[in-house]
Amino acid sequence: MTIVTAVVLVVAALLTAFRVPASAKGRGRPIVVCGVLTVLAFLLVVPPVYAALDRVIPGENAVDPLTKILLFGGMFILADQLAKGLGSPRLVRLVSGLPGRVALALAAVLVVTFFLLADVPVSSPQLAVANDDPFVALYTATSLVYFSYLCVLLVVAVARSFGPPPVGASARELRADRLDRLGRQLMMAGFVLVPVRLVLTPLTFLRPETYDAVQVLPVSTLALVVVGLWLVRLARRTADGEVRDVSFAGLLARVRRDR
Amino acid sequence: MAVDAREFRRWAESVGLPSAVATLARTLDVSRATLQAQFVRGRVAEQTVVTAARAAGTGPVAALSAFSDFAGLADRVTLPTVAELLSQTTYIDVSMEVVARIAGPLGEVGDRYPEPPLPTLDGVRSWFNAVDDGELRRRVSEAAGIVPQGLSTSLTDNKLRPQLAVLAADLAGVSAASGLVVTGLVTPEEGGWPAHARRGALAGLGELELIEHMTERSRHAARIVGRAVEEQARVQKFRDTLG
Repeated sequence: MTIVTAVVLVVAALLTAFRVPASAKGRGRPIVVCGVLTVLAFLLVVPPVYAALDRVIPGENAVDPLTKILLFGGMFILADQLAKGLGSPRLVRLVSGLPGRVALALAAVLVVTFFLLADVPVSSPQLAVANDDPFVALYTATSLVYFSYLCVLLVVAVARSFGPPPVGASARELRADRLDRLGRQLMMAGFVLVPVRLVLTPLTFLRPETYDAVQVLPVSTLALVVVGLWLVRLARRTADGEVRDVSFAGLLARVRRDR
Repeated sequence: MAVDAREFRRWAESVGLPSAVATLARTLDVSRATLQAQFVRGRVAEQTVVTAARAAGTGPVAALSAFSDFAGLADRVTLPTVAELLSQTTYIDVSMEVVARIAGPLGEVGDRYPEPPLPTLDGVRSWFNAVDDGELRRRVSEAAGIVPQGLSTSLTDNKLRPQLAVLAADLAGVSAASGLVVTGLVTPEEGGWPAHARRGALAGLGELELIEHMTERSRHAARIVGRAVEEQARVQKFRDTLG
């Protein structure tokens, strides 16, 4: 499990780093920020890192709510960018408009409140050691509810974005379309796992031994979304430089190639 | 849906095509695996029959008539109606006709825009609508035992299975091969459409009819180009934001 997590984190970090040059020119900056926040959040809960930081930062386990807030930020940015990319004003409103910001603020306040109420005496990433404490359960559930809220919205929006392949597209555009499509499918698969994790929370509460197994889900989500985003990037690069001919005669000449 | 593989073997033998799959695939210049799969499934695609007929030097429509699913097809081939021909023209064809009427024969310029190859953009649905008496969708889906929604989806995708295309043409009372022509399975000539029939149909229109047809086709083209532009902008925005 730790090896898988490490690989996923390294890949996520690398793919984020690859985006830095373009972001310096102003392209895809939010996605880079999202990548940094998310990788950092996942990195901080790796036990040795967590233990080391917990000694430095005042307040037992104060690192954990910090990771939650970082992840909130990362997920908020990703959802906002996806909503904007999909061109859905309603989704943008629910993610980063007034309702979306209220949800974020509420989640953040509740997470901090439950953390303070939980009072876990020993250093433990994700407060896993006190998993059967009701406030820890609420603490975990609150963040999952917020993530699930965003992910359910995203799953629906992404699922709606699949149309037929472009009419009269060139071979290169079709290749880009396939990459893009696969990317969206992977992201969707990743988002679906988040509400699944939420539904499994009572299980980890009642049967703490299942906790480790369930932790596979967030890492899978990270892996799927990271690869999915990368495929979208590949799609853009594949389609780039292609003369975009949407003239009627152009479409007409290419219609036969579709079949 | 396709024709029976045993019938295909019998027919292939009768027109002198090799019976071994490998040789046949080479003769037809199709993938051996595809052909093999069709034989294993026991159904050979109509497209294969058409390719084989061309290789054997017989007319595809006559070849299809040899199969029980398309029995008597060649006997029901008549001249296409003007409405059918017009449904397969674009606003560019109409514009050429307008210019030709004013400026005289276009010569070389006209050759640069030949009649569009079939299927044309949204041409299958255009044809279906042109032969539709208002009840054709229902009648075709009832006769074929499919849901009307499936037929509409297929038309939206600019597709129509050969058997449905023939069925629709028969029910609409037009030439049985017309549906195969507009879906691009057979060429207009193979389907019994006279050479340059579409240009001829345009040339035969009175000015008012021509203007009305141009309006209709322009609106049609605007819808297609508009959708393509919109779709492209949508995709571009998605990739620019996340890529």
